Amino acid sequence: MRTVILRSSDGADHIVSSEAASLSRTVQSLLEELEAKEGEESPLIVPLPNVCDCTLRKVLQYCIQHTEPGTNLTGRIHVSETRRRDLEVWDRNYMLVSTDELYHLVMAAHYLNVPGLLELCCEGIANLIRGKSPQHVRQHFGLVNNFEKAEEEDIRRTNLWALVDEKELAKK
Amino acid sequence: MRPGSCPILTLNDELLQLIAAQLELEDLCNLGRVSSYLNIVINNADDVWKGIYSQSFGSPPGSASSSWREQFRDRAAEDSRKRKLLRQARIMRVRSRVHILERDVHRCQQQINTERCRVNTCVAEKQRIEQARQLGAALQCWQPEIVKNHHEALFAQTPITDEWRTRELDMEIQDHKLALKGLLRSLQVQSAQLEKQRMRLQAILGE
Repeated sequence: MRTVILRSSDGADHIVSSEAASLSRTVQSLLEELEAKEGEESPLIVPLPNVCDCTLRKVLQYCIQHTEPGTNLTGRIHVSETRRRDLEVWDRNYMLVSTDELYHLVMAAHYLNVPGLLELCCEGIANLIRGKSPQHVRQHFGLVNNFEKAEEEDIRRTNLWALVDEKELAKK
Repeated sequence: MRPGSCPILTLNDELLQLIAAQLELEDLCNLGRVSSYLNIVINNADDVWKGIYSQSFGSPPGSASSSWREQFRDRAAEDSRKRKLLRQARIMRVRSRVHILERDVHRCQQQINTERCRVNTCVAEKQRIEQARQLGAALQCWQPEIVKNHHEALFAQTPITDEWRTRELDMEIQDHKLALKGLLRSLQVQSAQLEKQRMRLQAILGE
């Protein structure tokens, strides 16, 4: 198996298998370009100017975990039920990060184009939003309410059709 | 988190829409109320609304003239109207059922009272006859004059009755008691039904 070197924005190198690195479609296409240019033998160094060392390390954790033997990488390998469950648990634990880290992670997943990780991050962010009132979301993400009073009321009213039904009617 | 930083706002539309796609309707609407930017992003995320539409109403219609959000809103408003009408109809049905049962229970209670009165009348009459019979027997024996006179006066008031009248009364009492038993049972059944319907009404009103 070939190894490649991924270089973060702050110049730190990470050596990983090309298999793990290829989970990122961005890296994969860069690798293909490099191989065509430099030949099979030369060391492959991929600079990633948009990803800092700390985030890249976290992303690579995901890539390595998800390319371990028995993982469904391209649909060719059969994934056992227990392996799938283990991965789910691993993903859940992996998502135990701060909002800030999560934000950097989702940006990196988007830039590096790692579909599985991107989905996982979006789900993580969605979980942060779920069940919170608009005010609560603003507090949590440090946002300000930039609506006009009338505008806000208008949105609340037009949203009513979705939420009013049973809940609000029962209150009356 | 750094104060004043709002990472979620700096994500691009594409990422925000990916996040929105993971949310349920209620959370999605709440997110749209957070800020005007998020409101615009979410209102324009038509794929998300398409998903919400098919989640709520099954497979969506083929071609669309308006956006999925508008289609969803129209369909949801229509469904909500229908649900309200159905609910009102249900409440009315249960209410009328409660009224009927209340009337039935009331009628049953009246009948029970009538039957009780009848039983009491019969029992009283039987007692009078029994008393008269004893008086008649007592007159045959020696008694002090004053007592005898009193008894004779009482005996004269009581109509002369036959043995069959007593038997008839016994039968009547038996009949009334039987009817009473039946009425009590049906009262119990009706009361239970009434209670059940009242609970149902409460449950619907409380929804």
